[in-house]
Amino acid sequence: MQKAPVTERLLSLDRRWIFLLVLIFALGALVIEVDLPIVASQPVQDMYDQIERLQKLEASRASIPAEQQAALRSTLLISMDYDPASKPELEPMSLGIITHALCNGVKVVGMTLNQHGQDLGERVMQRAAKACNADYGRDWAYLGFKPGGATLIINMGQDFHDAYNQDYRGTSTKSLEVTRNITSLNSFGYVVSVASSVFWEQWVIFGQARYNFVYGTGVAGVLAPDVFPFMQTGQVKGLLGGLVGAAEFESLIKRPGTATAGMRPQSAVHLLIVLLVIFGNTMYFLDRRRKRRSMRPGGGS
Amino acid sequence: MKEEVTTRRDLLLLGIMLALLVIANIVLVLMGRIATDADGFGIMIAAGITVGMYSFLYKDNPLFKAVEHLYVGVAAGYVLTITWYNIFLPDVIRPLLLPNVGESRDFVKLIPLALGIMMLMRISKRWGWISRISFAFVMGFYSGIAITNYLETIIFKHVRYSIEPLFATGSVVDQINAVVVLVGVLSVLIYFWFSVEHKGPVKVISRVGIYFLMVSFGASFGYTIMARLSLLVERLEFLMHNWLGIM
Repeated sequence: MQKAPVTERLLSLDRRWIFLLVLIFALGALVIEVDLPIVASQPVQDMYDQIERLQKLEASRASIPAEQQAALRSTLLISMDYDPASKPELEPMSLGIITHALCNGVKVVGMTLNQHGQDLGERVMQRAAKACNADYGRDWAYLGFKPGGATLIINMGQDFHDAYNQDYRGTSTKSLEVTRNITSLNSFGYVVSVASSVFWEQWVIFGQARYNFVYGTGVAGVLAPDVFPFMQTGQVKGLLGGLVGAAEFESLIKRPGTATAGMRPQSAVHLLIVLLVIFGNTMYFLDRRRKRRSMRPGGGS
Repeated sequence: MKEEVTTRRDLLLLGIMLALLVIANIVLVLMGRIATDADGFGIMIAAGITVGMYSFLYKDNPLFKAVEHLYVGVAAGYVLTITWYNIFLPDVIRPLLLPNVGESRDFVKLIPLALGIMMLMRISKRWGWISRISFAFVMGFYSGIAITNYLETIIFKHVRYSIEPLFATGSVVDQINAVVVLVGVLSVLIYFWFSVEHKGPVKVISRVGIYFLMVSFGASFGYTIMARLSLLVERLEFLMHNWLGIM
């Protein structure tokens, strides 16, 4: 029995060999420590700059009369709209943003629109607060999950305390120092949604467009290309796209974490995939040429 | 016959994998790398589930099915708990039955409660029509809040910012970028304009649109690979660091 030509056999290669190659490359890159340069892109720098802006506002609080402090708009609202399936990509973003804000004296309010994300959000806020010695109620608060998505965002814009009359622990939001003076979404200095689904877009459509607050987002890699047009229009100011966005933010705040560690295997496997794409296309064209030759008169079998 | 042999081989591989998992856990416990408390037990379970999930890459198998069903069950249980504590208890039960001291019962909550119950009527053949009232309410409400916002935020604003940068004063790079964006938007729109036959100039422009779409798909593909790899890398880190303790 005649064996199939090499090109044909390679084109119909069992995909499990490719899975094995991916595993070998990822594991190899995890074990072999090579420092890769991570340079922050402009969208990541924009988010960093927004948090720096809040820090400067917060620093000026002492020099402002008490009655004007409520209108300072220096608090960060972060909505951690993701579930465990996107945790590896999005948790480093949330952790980086909250840690950078809290450690620089910016007050942070956390929440989630995703019902699977409630405990993930609380865990991240606890970790960041512990790293920065931040006090609950004074420096930060966690509101937890409320259903509604778009309607909740609109409700928060109309009356913050009506939408969230109590925090995750059951304490009235009017009694917490960090949320006491918040009346609407417009009271926040910067709103960030770290999202694995359409929630990032809902914050733009039902929040930013209606209440005109400064908005940034961190999204799973698959969603990142969709956000760029919104940056051009100025509706989104600051974007962390996928694990690379998280790693760039970690490099900016000089706190390397799991995102930075994950960039080595990312780079190695991306290189493998580029090689496989080139290899697959080469085999395809070689096989096509072989078939064309064999179809010519006297071209062989 | 070949099918039967393959199944046997798969079951054998599955058995070997499970045995290796058990042996690895015993060795790790004996070596003191995994504690014999709740955390250690959790790590062993998580490692087993991770390996079970990735076993699908070899072939669909009973271990994968078991962990898949476990995931669905845990997710459903979690959502049920969240629904009770975050929605029913604070928004329905307490306002209606257990109001705070000094507060009266909030009977307005009966309206959404009734709409919710009506929606559940869908499971009955006889009373299913009642659910249409609730669905009509939801559709009408969402259309009302969404249509104008979507038009303003996504269509009008993006059309404006596709043209406006052309007339803005900026660097040469900005001007080139503005032209590229405009050409991309128009050519892709023409590609999806099926009311005219794609020949002559329309064919040329729609061809340009295809190239822009290809670039867009390429960017999405790259980001998608990164997203999926992030999940693999995190799991590998867990297995290597938390479970095996070799990193």
